[in-house]
Amino acid sequence: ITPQYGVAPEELEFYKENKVFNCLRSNKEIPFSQVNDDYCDCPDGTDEPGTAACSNGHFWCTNKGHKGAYIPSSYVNDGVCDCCDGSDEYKSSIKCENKCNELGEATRKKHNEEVERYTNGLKKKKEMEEEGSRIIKEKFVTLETLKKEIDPIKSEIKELEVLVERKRSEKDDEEKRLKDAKDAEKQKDTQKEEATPTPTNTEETVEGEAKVGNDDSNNNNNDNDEDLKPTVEEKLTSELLETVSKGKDNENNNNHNNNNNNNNNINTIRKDNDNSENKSILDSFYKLIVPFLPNSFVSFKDMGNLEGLENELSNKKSSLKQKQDEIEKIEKVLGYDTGVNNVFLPLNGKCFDFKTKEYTYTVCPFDKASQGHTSLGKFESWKDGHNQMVFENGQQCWGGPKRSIKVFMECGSENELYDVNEPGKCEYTIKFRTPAMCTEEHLKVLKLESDHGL
Amino acid sequence: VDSSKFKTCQESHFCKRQRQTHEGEINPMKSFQTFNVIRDTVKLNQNDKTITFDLQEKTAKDNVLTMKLELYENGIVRMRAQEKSPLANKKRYHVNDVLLDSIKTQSIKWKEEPKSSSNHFSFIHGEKQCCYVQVQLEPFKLDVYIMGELAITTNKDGLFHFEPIQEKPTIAGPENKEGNTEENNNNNNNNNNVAHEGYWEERFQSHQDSKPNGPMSIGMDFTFVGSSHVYGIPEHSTRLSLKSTTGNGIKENPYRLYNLDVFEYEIDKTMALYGSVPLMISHDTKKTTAIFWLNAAETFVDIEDVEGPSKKTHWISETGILDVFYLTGPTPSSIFKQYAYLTGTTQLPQMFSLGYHQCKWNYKSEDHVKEIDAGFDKHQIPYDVIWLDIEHTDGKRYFTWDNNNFPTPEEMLKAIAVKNRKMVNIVDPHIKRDNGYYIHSEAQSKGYYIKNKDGNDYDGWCWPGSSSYLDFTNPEIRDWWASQFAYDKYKGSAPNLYIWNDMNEPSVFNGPEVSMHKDAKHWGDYEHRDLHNLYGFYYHMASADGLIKRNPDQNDRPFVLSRAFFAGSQRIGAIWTGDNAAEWSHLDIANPMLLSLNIAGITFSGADVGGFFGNPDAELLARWYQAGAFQPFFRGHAHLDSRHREPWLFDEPYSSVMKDAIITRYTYLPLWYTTFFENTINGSPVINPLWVQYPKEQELFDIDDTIIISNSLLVKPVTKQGAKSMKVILPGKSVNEIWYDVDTEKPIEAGTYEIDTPLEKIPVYQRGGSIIPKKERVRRSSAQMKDDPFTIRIALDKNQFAQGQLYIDDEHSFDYKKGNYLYKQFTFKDNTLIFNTHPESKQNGKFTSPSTIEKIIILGYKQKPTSIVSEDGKQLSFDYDQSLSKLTIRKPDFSVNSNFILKFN
Repeated sequence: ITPQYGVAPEELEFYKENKVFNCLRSNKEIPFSQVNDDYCDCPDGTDEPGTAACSNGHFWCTNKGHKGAYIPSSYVNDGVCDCCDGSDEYKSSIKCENKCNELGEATRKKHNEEVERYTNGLKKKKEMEEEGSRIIKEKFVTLETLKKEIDPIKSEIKELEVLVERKRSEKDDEEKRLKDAKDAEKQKDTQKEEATPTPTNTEETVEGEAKVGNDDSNNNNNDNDEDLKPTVEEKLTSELLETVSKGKDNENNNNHNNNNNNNNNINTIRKDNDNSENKSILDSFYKLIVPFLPNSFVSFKDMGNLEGLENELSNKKSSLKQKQDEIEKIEKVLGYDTGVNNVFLPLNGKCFDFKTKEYTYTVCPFDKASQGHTSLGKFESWKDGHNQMVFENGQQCWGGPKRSIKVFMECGSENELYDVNEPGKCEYTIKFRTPAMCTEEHLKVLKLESDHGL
Repeated sequence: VDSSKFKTCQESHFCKRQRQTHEGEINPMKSFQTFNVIRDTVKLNQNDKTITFDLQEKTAKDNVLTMKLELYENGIVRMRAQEKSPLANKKRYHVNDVLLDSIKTQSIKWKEEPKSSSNHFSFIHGEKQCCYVQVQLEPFKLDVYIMGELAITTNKDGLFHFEPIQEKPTIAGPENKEGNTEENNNNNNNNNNVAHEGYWEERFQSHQDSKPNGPMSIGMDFTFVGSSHVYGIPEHSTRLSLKSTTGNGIKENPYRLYNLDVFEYEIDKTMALYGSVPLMISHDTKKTTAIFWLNAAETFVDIEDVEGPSKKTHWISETGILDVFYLTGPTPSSIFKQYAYLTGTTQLPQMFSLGYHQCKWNYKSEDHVKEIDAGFDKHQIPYDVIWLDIEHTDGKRYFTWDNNNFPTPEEMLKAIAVKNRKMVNIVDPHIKRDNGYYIHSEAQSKGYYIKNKDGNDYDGWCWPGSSSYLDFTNPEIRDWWASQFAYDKYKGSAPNLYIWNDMNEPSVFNGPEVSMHKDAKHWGDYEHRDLHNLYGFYYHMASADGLIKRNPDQNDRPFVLSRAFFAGSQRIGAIWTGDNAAEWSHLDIANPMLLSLNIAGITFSGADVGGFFGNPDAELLARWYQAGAFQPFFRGHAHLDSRHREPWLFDEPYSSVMKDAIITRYTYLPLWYTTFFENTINGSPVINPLWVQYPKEQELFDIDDTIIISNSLLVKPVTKQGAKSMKVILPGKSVNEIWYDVDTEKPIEAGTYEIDTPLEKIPVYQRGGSIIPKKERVRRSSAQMKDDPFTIRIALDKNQFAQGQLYIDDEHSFDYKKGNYLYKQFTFKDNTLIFNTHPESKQNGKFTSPSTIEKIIILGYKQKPTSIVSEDGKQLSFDYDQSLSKLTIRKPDFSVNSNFILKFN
């Protein structure tokens, strides 16, 4: 081989025939005859551009018809075709075909596709920017409107609260009177029941009832007497049942004050207890509902007015909450870095799917990401400029961290996800093509590359 | 590790019975008594070259054993004993297939004939006078003398116990029941309950062992007289020099040999691990000797320091015959030769398998494989093999592929083959019990599975769920298994696909101690307990055989990595130290464990770089690569739950340090290859502890953090976090050794030094007097380096002398066995460098290599020569560096095929 073999065009001048050769990047001078003589003399490896003698050198593939490129010196004559023109395997056991034209064609095609992607992407990017500024205007308007609506609702709520409070204390007085009367009646019932054996309860029921009973005795310190306990339980149970029935249909309303019927109901329950399926349904129902029942649930008399007021109050409150939430949401969005000209803003509120054989991955920019029903995290921040959207604190991984995903942003003519990976356990990555990432500069570079004939 | 899952001696009834006998406790077992030689049975049989006699128990006269003594080449004595008249329906297991067929007994002659007036007789080798054996008749005792001095005694402490095979008593007494401890304690001395506890059944945790053959354990004591150190009996996570487990107030569990899948094993435990080699080497400044206890059943070994100072050892096995080899040394290298004579040497590895292996549980798809492969090229890191763990299969059905993730395995393998890289797939011995799975349905219908005690196919739980286990102890089943590797059977396989055998202890998730029930039944009506430690060996053997037979020319050396092993596994393939952890302590113990394997013949061995469990930080991983680059088998591996840790994924300087370590490995491939070849000649370890090379330097006997590759390259990897400096011992004070730091090329005299250990430093020293062949042009994988020229590094000793070897062949086939190789020797002496055929070479000249010698570097060359002239008068150009006394010969360009002589004037 010639001393110039494997030298890139821009470095040819240093390899002109001469008496001596100066190592290009180290301070050493060697006889020119030692260039490309298959022995490494220069510490920087520049005396062996065409052989594999220097492990730190590189070899220039001319690759006519495609694109010239450097390969590591160690690829020279190693039995693997690396240059598309095969020039790296000049003294090798294998013969390399020249694939440069074919490869060049494919690369040019790919390159053109990329140019097209950028061109289309840039068009779409404009649209996204426009949409971004439209959305931002809308958000500000909505925000103003909502803020204005809030104060009137707040004062309405205050008024209603005063009213409800008054009604409630009236009702409490009535209730106490009613309860005293009832307790007296229950005392009789208890004595009656002691005569007949009570069917045994399952453990669970006892537990549940005992809890209610304790609550009750705390509220009524006078009722600590053991004998009273079943009565209290029964009373509560029957009333609970009624509440249930009431919720379901109004038929039982008629039985509401009838003690006999109450007892029947209790018996019905106990019978049901023997049937494990029903039992468990009822049990869980009690368990669910008991803790949430207000102390005042015992009476449903004179509820109309109070109930109406309370309903209204709660409606107002939820309306206020709704508006406050809405404000918070908008402010949160406005707080995000949505890029130059809010170009990423149109992605907010949208979700994108990518299906693999096993799962569907969903990314909702600025919001959340998931793998099927499994959360991969909430939007945490941008990283590396706008190149990565990071979602963290997803569902806890068994024996691992909380799931997270990094979304790598790229230029594309459409918004689409592709290429999901799990480089660490429950640490995912996915790529997202979006017009928002396309830049004029990159297109210019791409076009410049085409102009230079690739 | 949850050590409660694994038995101690105390929890193993046979061991408890046997071990009690030397703890000074009252032995309740009447059968444990003294054996006497029956005088008139002593016979020397010249025809079959044996001495035989009977032994009788002093009190139980019906317990009669017959003993056979033999001598083998190279100073090996063998002693065998079993029942003289065994029961017709019960038999003891004889270990087959471990010893080489080639071993031959030698003629024996009396040194002192048995006479009625004497209590002993002695005999000696017919021709060679290396040593002699003296037998005492009453009580039986056997002493081996080396160089006229007593070296190993047998039964000196009367621990020879042989539980005779017996019929199960017909009346089931309370003694057959466990859990009667209260009663037992009350009747300790007279009642048989204690004595017979665990005789006919035994329980461990929830597992019942039916023990249909009852007690048949054997025990024996051997004392290494004058010995200061014992080594060997891998595999344990302990230091190389074995610690005493009993005596002098020490109460440790004895070393245990019982192949087990130990989850997250801990350091410095005598508990059993994945493999067993029952070879113990004793060493002191005068001699090296060894005991090879050929038994495949569960075995315990106690070690005790006794007066002398000597090392007393007590060996206990659950079943099997008494079969013991005494290796008489007397040097370390003769011990390795003797052991290799019996069990063989390491199969010469293909060159690719000495390169770097990249593994992870799990590279999950063809794209993933492509990505990892490309990653190495992108970062210009050489590697040879990419590995696929269990997830590549279709539901853990080995020999199949997950069609979703590996739809076109042939293409994937082809893409790898372009760069001459290889792939390794895992194939485990548990077979998924799925009628749609061809391996299972065929194995089942042929009756190839191990049976449970009731005679049905053994069914255990492993990766695929319900699984059965092929009985690899049967040669027919091994052949059938081997045939499954045929390219048309193993769909999607290709010549560049090699194999990994895991879980072959065997691992049974729901079995006792995560392994197989001991009462499972094997071919020949043996129980699993008889041969447990051989299961992995036979499995490994069948797989390797399959890789040979799949090629029509049967001329590709197999590569099969196995986790379980036994003595002789070195002939089959590589071994790794199993599921270690990403912790500094595991990096630190890797060399001691690998040295222990190396001196026990298992030279092609490695520890997973980075640690299997957990996530190493960048420093630990970088240090691990540095250590791994100088260990025989070099593989990065990580658990499914571990983060990816391919070398390029870390910050600088760590990634570069890992890359440099791998590159360094590749530059030394010629040294590794030559060393492995030399092991096939002499059985020497590939990595040596210091005492093996310097057997007279007592202060080295405990050193196990330093290795010497061949006899030339000393490496002490940094295994401590944040170590800025470290103590290095450069041995050889007694012989005025000089060492050369391979980085600075500066000479250092033998001694102890505190050296700086910045992150990029791997402390590596070339011995003065050695010559190391290297290839310093590193390529993508070893295959591309095959024809590259060599760089020869000569390090001169104080007498300006050096010698070294170079072995070359086709790097992959069995042709070397026909002499198709080059085995050359370099000698630098009297200012002359001679390169010629090695005197021990049996090459027949058929092999030629295109490689040349492109550079010769001589360190320690005192002054600049005026000229360097070859035989034919050619003057060579050279460069001399006075400050380093370093002479570099530029482009001698000699072909390695021919010999040459260089004169230095």
